[in-house]
Amino acid sequence: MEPMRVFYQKTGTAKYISHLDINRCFQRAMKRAGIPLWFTEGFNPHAYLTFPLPLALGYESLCECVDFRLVGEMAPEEIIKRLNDTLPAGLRAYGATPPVYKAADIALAAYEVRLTLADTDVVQAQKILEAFFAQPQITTMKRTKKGEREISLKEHLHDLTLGAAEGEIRLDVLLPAGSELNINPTLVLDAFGQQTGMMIDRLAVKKTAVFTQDKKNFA
Amino acid sequence: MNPELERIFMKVQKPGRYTGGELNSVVKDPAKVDFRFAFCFPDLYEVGMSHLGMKILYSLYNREENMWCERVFAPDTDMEALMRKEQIPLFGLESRDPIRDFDMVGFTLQYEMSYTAILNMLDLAGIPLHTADRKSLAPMIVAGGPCACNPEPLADFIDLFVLGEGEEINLELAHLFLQAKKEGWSREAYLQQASQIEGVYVPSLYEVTYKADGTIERVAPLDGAPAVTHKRIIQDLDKVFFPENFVVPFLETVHDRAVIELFRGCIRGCRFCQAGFIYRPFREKNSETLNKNGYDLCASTGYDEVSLSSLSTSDYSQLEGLLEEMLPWTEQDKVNLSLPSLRIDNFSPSLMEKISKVRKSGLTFAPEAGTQRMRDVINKNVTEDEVLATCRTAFEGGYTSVKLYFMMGLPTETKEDIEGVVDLAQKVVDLFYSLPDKPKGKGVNVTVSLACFVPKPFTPFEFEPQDTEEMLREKQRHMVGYNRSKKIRINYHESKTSFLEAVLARGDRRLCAVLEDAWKNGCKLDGWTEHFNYDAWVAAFEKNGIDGTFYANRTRPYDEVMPWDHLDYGVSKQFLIRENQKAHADTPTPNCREHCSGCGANRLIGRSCF
Repeated sequence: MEPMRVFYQKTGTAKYISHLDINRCFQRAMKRAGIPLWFTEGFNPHAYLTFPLPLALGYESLCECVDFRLVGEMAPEEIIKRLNDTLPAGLRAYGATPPVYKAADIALAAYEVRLTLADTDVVQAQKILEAFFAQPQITTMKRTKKGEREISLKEHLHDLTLGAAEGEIRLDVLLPAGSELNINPTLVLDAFGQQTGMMIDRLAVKKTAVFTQDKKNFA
Repeated sequence: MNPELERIFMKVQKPGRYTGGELNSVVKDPAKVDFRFAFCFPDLYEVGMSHLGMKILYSLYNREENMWCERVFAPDTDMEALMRKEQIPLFGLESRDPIRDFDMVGFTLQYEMSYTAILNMLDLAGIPLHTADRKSLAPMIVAGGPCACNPEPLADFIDLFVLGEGEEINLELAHLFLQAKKEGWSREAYLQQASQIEGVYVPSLYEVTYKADGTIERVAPLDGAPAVTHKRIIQDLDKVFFPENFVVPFLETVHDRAVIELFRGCIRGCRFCQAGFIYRPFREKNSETLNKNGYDLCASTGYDEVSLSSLSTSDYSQLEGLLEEMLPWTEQDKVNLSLPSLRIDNFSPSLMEKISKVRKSGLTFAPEAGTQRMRDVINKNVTEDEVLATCRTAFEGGYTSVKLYFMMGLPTETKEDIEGVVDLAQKVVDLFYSLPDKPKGKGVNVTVSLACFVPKPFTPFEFEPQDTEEMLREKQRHMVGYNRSKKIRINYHESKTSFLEAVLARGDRRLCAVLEDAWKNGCKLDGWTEHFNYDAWVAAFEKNGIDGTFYANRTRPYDEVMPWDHLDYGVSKQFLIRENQKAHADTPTPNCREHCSGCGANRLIGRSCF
């Protein structure tokens, strides 16, 4: 049984597919593609797929991945080709490889965020956002498995850049990701909204890269 | 993507209901098609996407190069509120274009409680509700499906109804529409021409007059419309179009699986069952065709379940053979076979073995009534011994839970018949504990699911009164109180919903105003308990001076003109009267394979059924 990791993009309308639904979608796509998957034994056999880093509903991503095990030979290029022949629009496989890292090695994710603020022009919006991020302390409440707790955001905002283009704010940021501590842009922007009272009007988030602790591309 | 839509998709629950883009959904270039059809299912996405009829017609239209069929579902309340606020008209999932700009907008009528959703969808689309207020040829508003057998409560809103099976007639209507468009016909001219197609009923071409007692005096055709409209059927099911792929939803839907259709019609003739009469005559598909349909569907969708669909799966004459043909590939591809609608009297151990090869779920059977007398009245030809023998087979095969469907409020029903339901369930419980090789360490669960009887058109019970709400509630109370076992769980339906179903099922055109007012009072998803508002309906009846009990709770004499008497579904009224008389004599009728009872539906195929 050879473990395999397929990398794919999730863009356009596909961003509205929830994590649970993406699992089912891939189960079916692999079946249509005739990929020799390992099935769980027992009462209700099903293909065993895991997603190292789940993506929030409504986010696009250039760097999603799914893990599974093969029970027969199939070349990575063949897997990619067969999947792309049958995946619905917005999902496109671009890589397949035996996993280099464990899912637990995921530590950081890079996001590209485009947004506008309600009733605020982009120049003004940029100033408000810059002021928010310039604060020495930014804290917010985060729900975790152990309940809600206060966390400090500021120290987790890495490589943050802000700019304006085409009437939108563009924000690039590197955030903690993975099972240890996961902070997504929505948490940051909710904290912004609560503190400033500003309403976000349009919002588009795209995950652009996933890294390990020592900033190697997750592979 | 339209930024307005983008914004609201981000704000609603389950945006996947509205975004489209699923595998096998069809997107065409609007500039290259001449005919655009909006297939509207008047309920939420999860319900509508489970419907086989939509899948068939969707593929049927889209196979035509110059036609484009899109799907439309009722939005949930959060989406509707945002659409109204942002003034986004109801759109097709594939193109996101407003359906008011389509050529034809079609609704499927699966159950009466979806009627207010139709009005709500027309309104959301920005299409005038009333036929009389629509002036241009397009959009033409059409409807079909089982409830079209008495479409009168929708007569003011729908331009034309399609009676019977849709595979041929839909394309005929589309081609006539293309001609109308090319030659610049008025909508009246189109409807007049369409009324000449067999199976098309144009309600505005009929004038209904009433007697002083409120019953119908007569229904008179106008402008050369036929006096009687006959439903359409497909002669040869092995030659009829069947889709090679289904749209595969991202969201989990009610029935998210491949479906093959074993046969149409039913040999049984249970007297309460509308489907058992309106889909006659009985016609089977060949097992070879079915095996191919199932295989193609699983290959194109990746589904891991195929449902063998029909009104009574074990009545399919080639069932064992079909299962044998399907088993090799379904087992290899780990595809689960689902056999709904199994009958109690022919559920064999070998059949059970076949269906439980891949996955074991609960079993459901429908004795429908608790005593033999009651089962004879409704012509459910099963005996208590058969019920128990079937449950024994299931228990010995390792099942520990059984669900039993019953009805209450049946004609001639007594207290003994009500208690008989619980007695039968108790016998099933006792049987389980009497078995020496019952599954170890497990208890048994018997779920009694109790529906309220709703008299329906084109059944032998179309003449019968429905029990009043008080009677039904008293019976429910009595049954629950009579049950002494913790192993038996009794679920029952809301009797208020059943009352409205009974009113609409056998209603006439005067109910159009009630329906419209109920919608104005906020009714739009009546099939959902959390949205059901009975008071809004009561207010609508009162405002229009209409008494619902006139439709639901009155015995109708055999010679009364029914609102649907000018529609012909094959079975004759004389046959229905004979069956009604037999019911009152506690006499069952043999099934069609044993003996032809002369229902009249075989006229449609011009030969005897067997």
